[in-house]
Amino acid sequence: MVPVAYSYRNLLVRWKTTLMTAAGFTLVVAVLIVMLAFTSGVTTVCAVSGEAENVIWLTKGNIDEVLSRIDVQTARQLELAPGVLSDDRGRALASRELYMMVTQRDEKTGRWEFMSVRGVYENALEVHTQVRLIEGRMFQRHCRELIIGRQLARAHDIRIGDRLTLGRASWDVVGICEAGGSAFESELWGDLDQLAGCFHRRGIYTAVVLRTADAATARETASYLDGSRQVAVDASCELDYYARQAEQTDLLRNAALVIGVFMAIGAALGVTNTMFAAISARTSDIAVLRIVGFTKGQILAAFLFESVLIAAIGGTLGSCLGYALNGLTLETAMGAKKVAFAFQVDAAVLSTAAVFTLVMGLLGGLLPAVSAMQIRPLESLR
Amino acid sequence: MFKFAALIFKNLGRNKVRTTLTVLTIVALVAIYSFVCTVTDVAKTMMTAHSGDTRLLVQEKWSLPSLFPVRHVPKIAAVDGVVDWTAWNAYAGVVGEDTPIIAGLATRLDNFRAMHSGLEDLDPAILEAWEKERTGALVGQQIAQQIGRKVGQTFTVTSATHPGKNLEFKIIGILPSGIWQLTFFFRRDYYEEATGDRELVNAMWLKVRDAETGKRVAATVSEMFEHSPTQVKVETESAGIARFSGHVQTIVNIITFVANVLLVNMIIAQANSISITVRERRKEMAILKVLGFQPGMILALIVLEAMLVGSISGVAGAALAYATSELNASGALGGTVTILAQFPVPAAFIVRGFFVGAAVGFAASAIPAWNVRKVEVAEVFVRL
Amino acid sequence: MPELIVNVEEVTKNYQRGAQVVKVLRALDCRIAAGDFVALIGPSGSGKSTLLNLIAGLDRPTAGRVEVAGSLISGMDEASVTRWRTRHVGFIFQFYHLIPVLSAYENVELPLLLFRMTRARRREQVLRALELVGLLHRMTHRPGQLSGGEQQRVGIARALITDPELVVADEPTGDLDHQTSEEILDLLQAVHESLGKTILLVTHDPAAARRAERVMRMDMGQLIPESKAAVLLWSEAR
Repeated sequence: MVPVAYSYRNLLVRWKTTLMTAAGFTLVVAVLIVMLAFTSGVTTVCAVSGEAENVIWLTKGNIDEVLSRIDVQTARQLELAPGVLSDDRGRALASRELYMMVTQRDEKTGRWEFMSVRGVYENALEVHTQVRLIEGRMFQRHCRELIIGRQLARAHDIRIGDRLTLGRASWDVVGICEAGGSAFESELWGDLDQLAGCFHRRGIYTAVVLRTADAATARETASYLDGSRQVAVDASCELDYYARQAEQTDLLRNAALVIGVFMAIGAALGVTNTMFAAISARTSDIAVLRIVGFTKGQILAAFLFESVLIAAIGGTLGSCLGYALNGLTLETAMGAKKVAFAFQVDAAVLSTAAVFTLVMGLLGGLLPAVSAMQIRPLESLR
Repeated sequence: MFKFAALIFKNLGRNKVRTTLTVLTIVALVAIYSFVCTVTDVAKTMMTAHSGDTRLLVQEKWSLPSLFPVRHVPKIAAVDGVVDWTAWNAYAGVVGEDTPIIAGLATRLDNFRAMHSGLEDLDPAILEAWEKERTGALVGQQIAQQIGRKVGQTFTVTSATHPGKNLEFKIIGILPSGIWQLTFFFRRDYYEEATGDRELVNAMWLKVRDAETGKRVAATVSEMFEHSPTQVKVETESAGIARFSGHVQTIVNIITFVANVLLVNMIIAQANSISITVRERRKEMAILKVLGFQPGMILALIVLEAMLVGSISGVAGAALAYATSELNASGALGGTVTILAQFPVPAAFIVRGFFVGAAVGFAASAIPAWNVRKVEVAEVFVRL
Repeated sequence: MPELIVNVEEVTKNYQRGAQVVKVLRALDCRIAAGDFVALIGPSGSGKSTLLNLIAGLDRPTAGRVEVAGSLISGMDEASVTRWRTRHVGFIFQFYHLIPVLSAYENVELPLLLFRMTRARRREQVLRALELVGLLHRMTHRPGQLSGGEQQRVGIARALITDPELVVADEPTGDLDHQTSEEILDLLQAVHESLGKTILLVTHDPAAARRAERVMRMDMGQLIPESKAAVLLWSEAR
């Protein structure tokens, strides 16, 4: 093996060139990490949203509850589905829900923002067991009171006792809940009838969520009314429903990969350029190594190592930059919803970036390394 | 400097490998930069208020999806200053089992072109066909591909928004590339009759004479329904879009960040190449000085060479992006990439590519060129 | 009959230049005995480099046999010749050709990395070689920090480190001033006498050629053995 010192010391001697070439990789990796961490963060919110025991019913064809319209009669019929658990009063654990995006003026910034608002009845917490009150209390029936998800409260600096204007009415925030980092933490929950009245949506629900004993029962319950011509509704296990929401980030993930590929091509060509220049300045070194007895293969390996090292330097810097974003919380659109998510620079994101870097470092250094290998020793020295 | 043009061009050919690699790098980066900028440009254009903003959007004030009574429509249309109007009703669903949900808008036929952005130049023959065909639908290119139908064919939508009201449509035209890729339009009268929905409307568009009149109309309409059970909100087209885009602000910010990073990337890549070249040509620089070239002239030679490489690459990269975009729109790539179809790269970007490339060349060569001015003749001759 | 280190028989070497065939070596014979100190002189274009390439196994003859240190290298494949060369031939160059980023120690050690050897063993050999050329005190310095003469000494140490039978010196004093050249030639002579190495010295320098025991002259692809006196006459006439 050609000494490793030969490779890395040459990079040190030409440190400006090394850094500029490595910068190409730094930028690819940083961009990739930002975009992939974003999609990973949003996917995680979806992954932790929903429970395996719950079945969510929407109007047929809807993938998002925003446009779904279920009338009272259909809701009653759904509550008769087999496998639905009952509360201690013998009533079906079925949560009728009215989901809306409501415009609200943020008092602090003066900007109009969309907020996710869910009208529910008091049994909602028994159906959505992952949602727990951590501060304050549940809203009271027939009152204009709200509980707010932890992420939403943090994002807009809303506390218990604050008064929010939704539509024409004022609503008091009486509780804060947490839901394991799921989409529910980006929502406001209030009395369904009050909200329906306020926004002229009486007599309709956007979803009916049924609680069953376990995932297997949930799947069976979901097939209730399959093929029914009387009611046009679709059921999914709640976990699947939220997983499908995450598919909307696929577009951005694919865009991230396409952008990453183009930038990586740029970085690889940069390394090719640098290595060709390095080799032309070091033909006598290469000739001597060959004369002394190092084989063509060993020369090839040495120069490939050098280009991969440049890529690794750049990639490491880029990873550090990208990692700085880890845990940063922002809000984003997920279909019609707005959710808070945290950038997630996890092992998958970092290893994708690492693989990109190393592969492009290898590919970029290949041609120059092959040319180094072909140098005819004694001729180069004369 | 033109008399030195030959020298500049010849210098490009001295190390063909390096020149080619530099050009390819910038071509690749400018190509992707073109795509990314198209997205941000469209977002910016839509979000920026136009001083001549003469289109107003009327929606229910507080919630999504917006719904307000259809009886409000004639009252709003009659407001002084309103030159023309149309209304939208959303109707969405799936075609068959496998297609994703498609979104349709029921609207007026008679003033369709005038009231829809980007469709002002629609072929009048299509509108004539639409007039004759009650179930006619104008379909976005992407939808036509998704449902596998062409002009003249029919499709039935199993509605998600109007459960049980599954409508059949006949395609009478395909909408041009752009923001309407994933939409289809059909006639209001057909919508009302087939769904029975004569009560509610999702949104209204108003055309006014000028921005000032627009403000007045907006205030009048808002006030009209101030105490009505259903309040409405009136805003200019760009304000409405800006409000929606706040919803996607994070994504827009990420894309803008990417565009800026791409520019930096191009500059660094070319700067690297130039630094290597300049280092190798130190002796020549010294010789030029001996021959009488001023330091400023030597600097200019390097900068011009870099700008030449940059601008050629910029044009090539932008042209590549444009060509790919066109091929995608025509389906020649074997399927259409949705996001490319929604944000087609305009031909004008090729000119922008030229300037971006030239600017990158200038920025990249600044420091190396400045350093080479300082080449000491004596120092280099000793090595010779 | 003394053992032959180099035995070149009826060697011809042609090169293709476009449509033309250039004959560089014409049925050349060359014999160098073990322990010889031979100078190879001749005008530019006479084929000295080509002959050197063949003896070092860096090129193959168009026809003929090349046997060096007991191996028929003209019949070997490239990988085998490379391995062979590390063990049997040491090179000294006109421009030293040290690796700039490696220290003197590391430059000398370089060929030993191709052998299976412990670090301690390598160190022992390198130090011995550096001591032989009088550069122990400069072993941590890089070529940029050494004078021309010192760099050439490092080159000589590197050439000797694998204990090759044959040392080829290609214009070793070409880039040095007179005094330093003399020092280097003294060293080469010492290497020849104390270690019994066979030395093939390619040179334009008559002073260097004088140090050799035997002089071979090349002209137009052929070898002409000459006496030393003839060499001196030749050099004075130039």
